[in-house]
Amino acid sequence: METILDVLAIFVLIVEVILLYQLRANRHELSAKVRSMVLFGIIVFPLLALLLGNYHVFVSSKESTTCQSCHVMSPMANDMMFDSHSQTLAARHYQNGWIAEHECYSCHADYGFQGTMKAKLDGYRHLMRYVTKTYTEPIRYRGEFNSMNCYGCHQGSRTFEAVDEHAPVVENLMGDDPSISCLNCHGRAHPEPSKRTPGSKEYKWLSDPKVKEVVNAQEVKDYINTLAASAEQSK
Amino acid sequence: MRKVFIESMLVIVGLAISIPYIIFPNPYLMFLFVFVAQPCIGVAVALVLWEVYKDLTSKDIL
Repeated sequence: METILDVLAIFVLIVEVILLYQLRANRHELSAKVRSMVLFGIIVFPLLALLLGNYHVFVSSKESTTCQSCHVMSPMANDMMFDSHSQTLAARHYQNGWIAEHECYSCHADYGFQGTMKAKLDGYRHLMRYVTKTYTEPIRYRGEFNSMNCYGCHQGSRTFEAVDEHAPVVENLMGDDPSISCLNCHGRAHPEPSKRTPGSKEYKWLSDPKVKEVVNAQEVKDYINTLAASAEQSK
Repeated sequence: MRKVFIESMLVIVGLAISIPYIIFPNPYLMFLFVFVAQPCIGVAVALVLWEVYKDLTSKDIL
């Protein structure tokens, strides 16, 4: 899909350059040709470029690598992808392949550019603060994590239903004023703020994946899947 | 319809940001795309449509 988008973008660019050049040469007479050049050169193709760009904003940003591309998210992403000893929920889900794709978005479905209007505005605010560097590390989640995001995947699974203690938790979560979070029993989702604070012992490698000598997140995932498959075969 | 110089400039600015963003997406280009390129192209389209509307009303077509 990405390649198709790239080819389309280059096509739009080439056509646009030709159209604008022709428009500049013929702009003194308002012929049907000029009108159609205005239609395609100033309306149709620029709107197509906006459409393609918005695909990245709203669809490609579901990819975990998109979250990882912001420096400020590196500690969370690197812990999740590269720290094989990490016991955070994100790392366990990612490294065990419990989430097939869109790992960040699967848990943060109501957050960032994908969710509600408030969440979209939050996403724009985060983008603005990141680019203008008006943030301080460690970053903190504003508000409360919605545990129903966990329930969306775990609902109905045998291992989840088999734990009797989950029943009152689900009842509480579905109530008007939920007071329980999945994190209460299952631990942190991401490294604690002290590890994500610049200057701390863990911060250096959490913010720089090259320290772990891993080039590509997909390689790690494939390697973990290989290990899981060989473990299944040996049983 | 007047010359479309301003609209063309706005489209050039918008595309100069949009195309690199589509091919090499990153947070900085995303910021420029969201807050600069989209408004530029939006304004260019609106200006052209406004000119078309004025043209049509002046000729009593609308």
